[in-house]
Amino acid sequence: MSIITVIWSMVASACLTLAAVHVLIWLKKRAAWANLLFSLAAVSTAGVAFCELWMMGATTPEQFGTALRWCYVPVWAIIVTLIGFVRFHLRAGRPWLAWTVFIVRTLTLLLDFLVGQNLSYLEITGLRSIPFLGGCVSVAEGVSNPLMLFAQLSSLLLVVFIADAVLTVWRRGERRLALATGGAVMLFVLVALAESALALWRIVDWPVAMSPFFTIILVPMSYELSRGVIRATQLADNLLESEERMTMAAEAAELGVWNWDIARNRVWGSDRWRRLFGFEDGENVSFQKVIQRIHPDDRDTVEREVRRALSGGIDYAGEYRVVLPDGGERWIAARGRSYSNAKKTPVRMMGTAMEVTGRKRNEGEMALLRLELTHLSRVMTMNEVSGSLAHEINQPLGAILNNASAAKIMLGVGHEDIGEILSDISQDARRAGDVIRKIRGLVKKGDVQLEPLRMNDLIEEVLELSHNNIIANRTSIRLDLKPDLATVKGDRVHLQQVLLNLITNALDAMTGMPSSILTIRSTMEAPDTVIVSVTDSGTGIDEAKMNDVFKPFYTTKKDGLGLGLAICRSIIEQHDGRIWAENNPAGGATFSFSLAGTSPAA
Amino acid sequence: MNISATHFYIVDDDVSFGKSLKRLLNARGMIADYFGSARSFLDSIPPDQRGYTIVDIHMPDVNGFELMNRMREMNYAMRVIIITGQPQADNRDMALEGGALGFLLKPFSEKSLFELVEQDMNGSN
Repeated sequence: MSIITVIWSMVASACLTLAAVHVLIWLKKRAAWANLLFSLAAVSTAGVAFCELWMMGATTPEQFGTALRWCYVPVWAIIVTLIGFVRFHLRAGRPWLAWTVFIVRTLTLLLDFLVGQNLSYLEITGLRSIPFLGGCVSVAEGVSNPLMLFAQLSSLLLVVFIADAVLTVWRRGERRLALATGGAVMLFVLVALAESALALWRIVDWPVAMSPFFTIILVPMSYELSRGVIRATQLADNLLESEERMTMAAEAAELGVWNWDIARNRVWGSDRWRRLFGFEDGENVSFQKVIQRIHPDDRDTVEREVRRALSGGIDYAGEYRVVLPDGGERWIAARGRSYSNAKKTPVRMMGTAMEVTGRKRNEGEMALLRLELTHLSRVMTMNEVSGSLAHEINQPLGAILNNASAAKIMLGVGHEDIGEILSDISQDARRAGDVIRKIRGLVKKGDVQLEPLRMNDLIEEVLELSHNNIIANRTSIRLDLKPDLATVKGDRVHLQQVLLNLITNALDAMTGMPSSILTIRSTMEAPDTVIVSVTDSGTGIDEAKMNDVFKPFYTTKKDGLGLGLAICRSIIEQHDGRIWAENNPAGGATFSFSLAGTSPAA
Repeated sequence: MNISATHFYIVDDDVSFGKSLKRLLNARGMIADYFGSARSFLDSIPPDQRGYTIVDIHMPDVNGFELMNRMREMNYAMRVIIITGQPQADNRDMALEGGALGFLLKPFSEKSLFELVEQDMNGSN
């Protein structure tokens, strides 16, 4: 095998390989015409190489003549595809020139098959063997065909056409394209066609050897075309990477991502988004399906807001509840952005969604806390008021006490009635002072003075105090006090206050009722717990508010502070006891508290 | 030492209260004097006077704490008992930190007043 065969075979296979690659590209993307044209050019170049080899190895004039005749076919193809490449890929070159070249060249091809041996030779008389690249090749001897000039003419026109196109590209500013691709193509076309002309007109003793030059043209063309592929791959990589990054970010932020194709009414959602809404993995989701998942109370608002965002081209932001297929509910915060086409019609909306159930609950709690705080600040101002009020009241109380005590002393023996009255005045003054002292907020530890107490005695003392109130309400009292009740270690004043509060509340609950019965019970629960309960025959407590009655600021009274029961609870808990409320089956409510008793013997 | 021989000095801008306390102490057989302001007390009573001073906190001009400080600066022999109608907790702390013998919240019983005095008397015995 000679070196010529090797070179020409390599040339041919290189061309075919390049052709195959670019055909594949065109198959993937039918709009890539340039790649198809390139493939045709590459195949044609392989064809030229084949014919040239055929010629160079011809043993008979007929062989040579046929080979040369057929050689004009792939050359025609190359020229046509070159024109196409310049027009479609470089997007330059005057159309009339292109058409001229095409027509002339096609004409020459026809002539090639109709006239004489082939276009170059009217007749081939014989073959000669000449040395070429270290080997021997055949060249023809014969009568030249004048019509071959047409071929050279078309070639010249082609070069002009390409040159003009390159200039246009250069002036367009695409210097690189003009120089590298256009320039290279032009140059090597020139060289190739010159070479064949010289060989065929026998000006020089060479075989026709165009194909290497054509192959060289294919290189920049292929590179030029590949750049698109390389960039596409890079873009695809970038896209993949950014998509991955986005997915990671969305996951980290626990965001669901959604994409609504408005025209086809299909909503794509990420796995997380589907889970948020309770959609299955493969389920087809439409806009209506999403809306159906939204809580009925929130549906209208969401639809309205979404339509508004679409028509106004503004971003959507909203919060709504979603009802899951299993009945569960969750709060979702969603955002979306709409994208329109050239006609300004929205075609797509994309956005995110995340669960905010926790936040919503906190907001609810915070709203409640804020309310309590407002109450508290109101009460605190009242605290300040009550501070100076207490001061103002304590002054006369102090004077009353001193005067009563002084009077008692001065009266001396023999005036027991007045003495008793004065004692009562003193006692009340002191008690009023104690109540004021305690009324400011809840009891603090250390404020408690423990002594052994008989609850039954306390009950009777407090009933006496409420005597007027009881009579005014026309309330009947029922006492059910267990004798030998164990004594309780507690603060007398505080526990009196508890009893007073419970009794007052009971009387208030029965205001205006035709028959009102106040029952006070004291019992014991094994082993040594003392239980006191105050029952009224009022309307009872709202079941829904049962848990709230002992909370600060809970009151059903118009100008009530709502602190009474809260203070009671605080006092009882200070005593390590329990206080609770329940509704009676017969109507009305019962408030009870328990205290630890000491030994029954007083 | 007998409490009945004690001399009490009452300093309070509330005339009604001051009078009532004086009346009570007198009924018990003790000597009690009433002053309507810190200034009148300081102007009348010398530092070496023996007895107990009962001082109200909230007075215009010089208040009870200021009077107590003045008395300490001027080396008054008498201990001070702070009284007030204001229920705030820090009053008690301030009084005791200031060196008062005791703190009483109005209305207080004579018993609590005498307990303080007796404690002090027994303590010094």
